[in-house]
Parts: sequence; C-alpha cells; structure tokens
Amino acid sequence: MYAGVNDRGAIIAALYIAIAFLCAQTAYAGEHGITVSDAWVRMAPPVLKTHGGFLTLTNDGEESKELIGATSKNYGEVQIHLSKIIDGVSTMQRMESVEVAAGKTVEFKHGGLHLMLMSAKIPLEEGSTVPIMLNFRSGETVHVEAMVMTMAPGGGQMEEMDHSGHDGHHTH
Amino acid sequence: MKLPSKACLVLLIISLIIPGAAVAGQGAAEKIDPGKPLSEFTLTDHMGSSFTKNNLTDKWSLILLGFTHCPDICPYTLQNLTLVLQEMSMRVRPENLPQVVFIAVDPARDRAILKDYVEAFSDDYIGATGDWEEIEKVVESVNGFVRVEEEAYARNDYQVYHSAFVAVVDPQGNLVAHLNPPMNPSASTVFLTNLMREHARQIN
Repeated sequence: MYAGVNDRGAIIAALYIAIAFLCAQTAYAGEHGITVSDAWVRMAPPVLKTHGGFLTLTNDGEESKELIGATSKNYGEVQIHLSKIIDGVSTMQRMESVEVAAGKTVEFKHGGLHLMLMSAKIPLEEGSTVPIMLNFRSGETVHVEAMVMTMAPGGGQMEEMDHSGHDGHHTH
Repeated sequence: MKLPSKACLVLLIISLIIPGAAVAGQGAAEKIDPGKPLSEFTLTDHMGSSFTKNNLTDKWSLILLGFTHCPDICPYTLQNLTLVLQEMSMRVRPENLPQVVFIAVDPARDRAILKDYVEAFSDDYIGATGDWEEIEKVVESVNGFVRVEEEAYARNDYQVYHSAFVAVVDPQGNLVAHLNPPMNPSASTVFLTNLMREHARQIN
C-alpha cells in the first residue's frame, strides 16, 4: 500500500520546486510601491467552496500601505483572516485591514494571515491560477494571479512556523 | 450540536489579544504517561461505515480534530502527516504504520463532503464524524477542545476553534501522546518510532 511512496514524493517535491521557482519569478507591482509575490492558493477538493490564499506584500514606497480587502471573480467573497494557535487551540479571526509599513514586508502564510476565499464559483485545478484583486486604503489596486498548489512555494511545508510573526503588522 | 456560551467566545477573543498566551504547549511532542484509555464512541467513517473505539485497536492511530472548512491549520497538518508517514515508512514495517484519523468536528458542514475531503489528502486516511455527543466523547478522550463560533453560525461561514495537536493512540486504545504544532516531520518520526519501540518492550 505504501510501496513507491517515496519515489512519488521525490517527483512531487521536484515538481513543487520547479513550480516554486516559476512562482518566485512572478511578482505583481502596483503603482505606488506595493509588490505582491509568491501568491498561491492551497489546493482543495471540488466539494470544498472555501479556500486559503497566501502571498507576500512588500512596500518599497515611502508611505505606509493598508490592505483593506480583496476580490476575485472566482469567489463570492474574499476576507482577510488571521490564524493563530493559542494554548494549543487553532483559532481564526477576521481582520478589517493589514498594514504594510514603508520598507516592510508582510507575509500571508501558514499559521498567520491568509485570504479566506469564500463561495468558490469554479473548482481549483492544480497548476492553474486564481485571479485576485487586492484593494488598498489609498484606492490603489493590485491584480495578482495566485498559483494553485498543494504546498507552499519553496517547500515551506517542511519549515517550522514562525510564532513571533505578525504582531504589529495588522490592525484590529 | 451544542453551541458555546457567549462568555466562552468573549474569553477566546480576549485570549487572541494576549500575545503571551501563544507560547504554552507548542512546538514539541509530549507523552501522556500512563496512557489514558479512550471512552467508547460511535461515529461514521467517510465511507459510511460505523467507526468506534474498536477501529482504534490493533494498530497505532494519529488523530486530528478538525473541520473541512478550515483553510489553513487542518490541511497543513494533514499534509504534514503525509510527510511523517513517508519518513516512518523507511523505519517501520508497513503493518506498523499508524492510521491517520481526521475527526470532523463540524458535522453540519463536514458530513456531506467528508469522503471527497479526506480522499484529497490520502486514500489511506480515515475521516469520521457523527452526532455531536459522540464527537465530544472523542474530543474529551484525547484531552481536546472544540468550540463553534456562535454568532456566525446562522450565516454558515462560522469558524470552529479546535485543538491543533495530533493525538497519538496506542494499539490498546490509550491516548499516549500529543504532537504539538509546529510538527517537524523528522522530529515527529523519531518521537513516534521511539514511542512505538518503548511500547513494544513494555508489552513483551
């Protein structure tokens, strides 16, 4: 039953590295210094209409930027959520906005922030992309194509979570 | 399904704001010694068959409490367990590999889609759910915690707060350890294989 699982794992791992490399090449820049990179959506079976989206926001501008929401034509609604494990309990909280200070980077990643993509209109397909429009307080919007993947770019699945993470990056 | 009191929810939200609370109980595996016998329970597995404590005997089990609409922690942990099993398959005989059991604690949304959900991770994983009273027996047996976000319940996009650990159950149906997040696959493999070796020594 488990025979060959390691070979398969190695091939899959190689594929992910290849995909991650391609993803890393793709960054989406806004007009005023916000760059979105490593955008991906966690693969989920078609029965599941709620998906998790992850990305990295970098603010190379001189003013703080505030992500106030996102939309996608593939979803009924997109929310910003913060996952946390508190006293061993997995919790989730909706965020009204996420601040990216000038010169700073905020990662949406496992165990922290994610985009909650809700009421999916079409099923996810591994290797395809999901269009997401990020809306900032300034009125700026950044369009990003998020890659549908099972694991995080760069094999982030293997890494330990960073618990010192996101405090201070967000507002309640 | 039993819903939480408002007070409980308020406490949870307050605890979200206290950063210091995030440190306790994380990042390592902990043994539960002596093992704690699980209570009897009756659930239904993702194939529609009865799933009881008997299904947790004669083999090691890794039990995760979760819900299908969980966008991050649950899929991450299930994928992580796949990596653990891959590493373990190099160290133990196939018949000694633990079974992975996903206890779906949100039956209202989980029941109809559990089969497709579980099979998306592995053909070998077992998903089980049922009436809340029965789920609660498992949750209590593994020293777990589950609460549903009450205020959003009517909207159908509510959250479910649940223990993030993986419960380790020995072939006699005793809770013997928790694997706490973040679960490093290699460290978890070493911990589990040592635990199984110790257990075999005690039994023989």
